[in-house]
Amino acid sequence: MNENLFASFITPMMFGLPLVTLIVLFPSLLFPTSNRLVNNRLISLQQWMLQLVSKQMMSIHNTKGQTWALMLMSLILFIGSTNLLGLLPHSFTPTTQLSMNLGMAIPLWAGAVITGFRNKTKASLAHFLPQGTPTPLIPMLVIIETISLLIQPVALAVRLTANITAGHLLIHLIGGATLALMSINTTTALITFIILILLTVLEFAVAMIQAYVFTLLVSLYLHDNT
Amino acid sequence: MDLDHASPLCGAGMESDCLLVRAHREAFALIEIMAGPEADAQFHFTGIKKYFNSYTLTGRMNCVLATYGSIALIVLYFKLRSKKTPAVKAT
Repeated sequence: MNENLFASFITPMMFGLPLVTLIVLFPSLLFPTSNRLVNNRLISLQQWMLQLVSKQMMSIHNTKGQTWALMLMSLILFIGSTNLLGLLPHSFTPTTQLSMNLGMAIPLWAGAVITGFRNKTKASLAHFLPQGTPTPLIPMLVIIETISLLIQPVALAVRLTANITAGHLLIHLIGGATLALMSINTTTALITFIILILLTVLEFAVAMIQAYVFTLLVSLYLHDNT
Repeated sequence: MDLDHASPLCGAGMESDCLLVRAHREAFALIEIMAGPEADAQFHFTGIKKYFNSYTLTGRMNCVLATYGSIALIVLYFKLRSKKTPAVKAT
């Protein structure tokens, strides 16, 4: 492992120009659209997958919440495809950047909370105090609930960043260890290589699960506020 | 949207997942019923408890606003107090 461990997390540049915009826009090229009634296999598969995910996710929402269906589906597709593309060797994963994830989490969370305050002001304010709280505990619980609300976007962003970054770092470390052990002890290198394969499979799952968790949590925040 | 068959897994032999979606939906509906304004009618408080309690929607809202108001007053008090007392006394 000759490279710096954190080299893959540096924003890529070419001739002094940042490539991050192109990298962020690239996954959209992988989801073609069609104006045909009966599509080809790829687009049919894509539409089936979108329908499955949207039904699962939007079934709990009322009419107002379901207006966010497009936003939430775009979100899960974007995060999922970005995370999966990041598993390609020597690629850059935008979702390892906390700035990017905060840029997604804060507006979505704020949108849900502001929607709640605008449409159901009383219920949104009452939400800060759980029903049946003993009187002496009321001020403390209000403060705790306020903090837990304010920490939601930070938790959303940090959860995604930490999971993807940790996974990539582990792959780097174990890959480097496998390479180093090749010349020392082949059996240990083989075991490490098997661990690397299992870890890569895990990272594929984590990439999709984290996209689902992010979107589901935004969906739940929206449900609380609509 | 046909909510009874919202999950694509309903009718595909995956009964446990269909039940999971329904249970999820029913849990949310129950929470809404429990916390809704219709439930406030079952509580009969008198005096100050009518406006400040942790059971009715209005009571909870007023408690929250009172807590925020108290915090704002405490912060304001300490800010004004620090402005009044001079930082350094000349000798």
